[in-house]
Amino acid sequence: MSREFPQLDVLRVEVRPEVRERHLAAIATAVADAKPRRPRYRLLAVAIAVVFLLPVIALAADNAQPGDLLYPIREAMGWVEQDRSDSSVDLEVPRLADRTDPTVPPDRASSVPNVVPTTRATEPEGTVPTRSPDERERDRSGEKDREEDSTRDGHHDRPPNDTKPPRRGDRP
Amino acid sequence: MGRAAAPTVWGVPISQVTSTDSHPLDRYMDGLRARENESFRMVYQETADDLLSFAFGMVSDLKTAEDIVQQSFVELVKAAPKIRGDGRSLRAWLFRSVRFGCLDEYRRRSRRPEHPVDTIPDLASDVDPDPLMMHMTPELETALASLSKRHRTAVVLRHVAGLSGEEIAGVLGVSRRAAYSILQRAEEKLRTVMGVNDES
Repeated sequence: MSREFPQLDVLRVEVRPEVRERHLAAIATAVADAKPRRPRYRLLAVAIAVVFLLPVIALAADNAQPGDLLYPIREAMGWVEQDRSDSSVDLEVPRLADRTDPTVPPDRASSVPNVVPTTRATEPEGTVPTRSPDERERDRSGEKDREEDSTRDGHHDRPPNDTKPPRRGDRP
Repeated sequence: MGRAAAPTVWGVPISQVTSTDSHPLDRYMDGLRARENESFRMVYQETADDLLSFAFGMVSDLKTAEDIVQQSFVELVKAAPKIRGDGRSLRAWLFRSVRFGCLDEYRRRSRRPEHPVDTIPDLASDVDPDPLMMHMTPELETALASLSKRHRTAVVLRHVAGLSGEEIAGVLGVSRRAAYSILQRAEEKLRTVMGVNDES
């Protein structure tokens, strides 16, 4: 190859067939072991969507009106809030009565009527939560029991229970 | 004082040495980036002999040269999606990878402790000598060993692997003019050592 340095031509070698096969096998193994890159990007895109996109959609759905594309999402979010408010009232009222009314014996705390007016955020203004007849009967009996107990113990200075169940038309 | 002549390389102006034609390896670039085995096979078929000759000229040991070439292709598989440019860039990348493998081999040899001759068992009678090593004469080995690593790289790339001046510049990581300068100095030294008549 080199006219100027013919001595260097002896360095010109070719790959022997067995070596060629060995090299190609090593290359094939390396290709098989090489990790594909695209799925990693795909996973990253999904993670970004979950972390950033879903809160943004929820925020955008906050002011959606019926008929809007995002209104079903707002409805779904409202259902979550409704469930949370129901459970919190049921649990909080007896505990509140324990703390504020020392005349109520601890074992009767659970019989304190749930008379806190609960106007749900999702309900239209002016409506009163409906209660079943059983619940109303339970409330009335609980009031009578408390009045008898207070008269017997001489606690007449107890503030009147003005937290009666609201009736239709009580609220504007 | 006449006008300074344009620099030439082997009688050809530098401006005409650069080639803009398509390279034979261009057609495999997309396949390489997608890590298709067939593309790697074809690139190997096209370049393996040149790479092996280059490595053999650098380390003077055929088995080591074969290992270096294999390692370079394994590295190519890992780096293929990141390689930019065309077939020329790929060819330069491969020669650069082999060059780094040879430099690693030099470092390994320098760290290797020297064994006294009398402690090495004489196995020469049991093992057939490598037929290719028979061609590496002691004079040639001495002449190449007298060159610096960079000069030896330039000479072997040019006169064994057959690379152009521009390709040598890409492998050495220097400008074209610097590559020509290195090559000229290396050839002068090799002529002196080997006693080649410069009249040719």
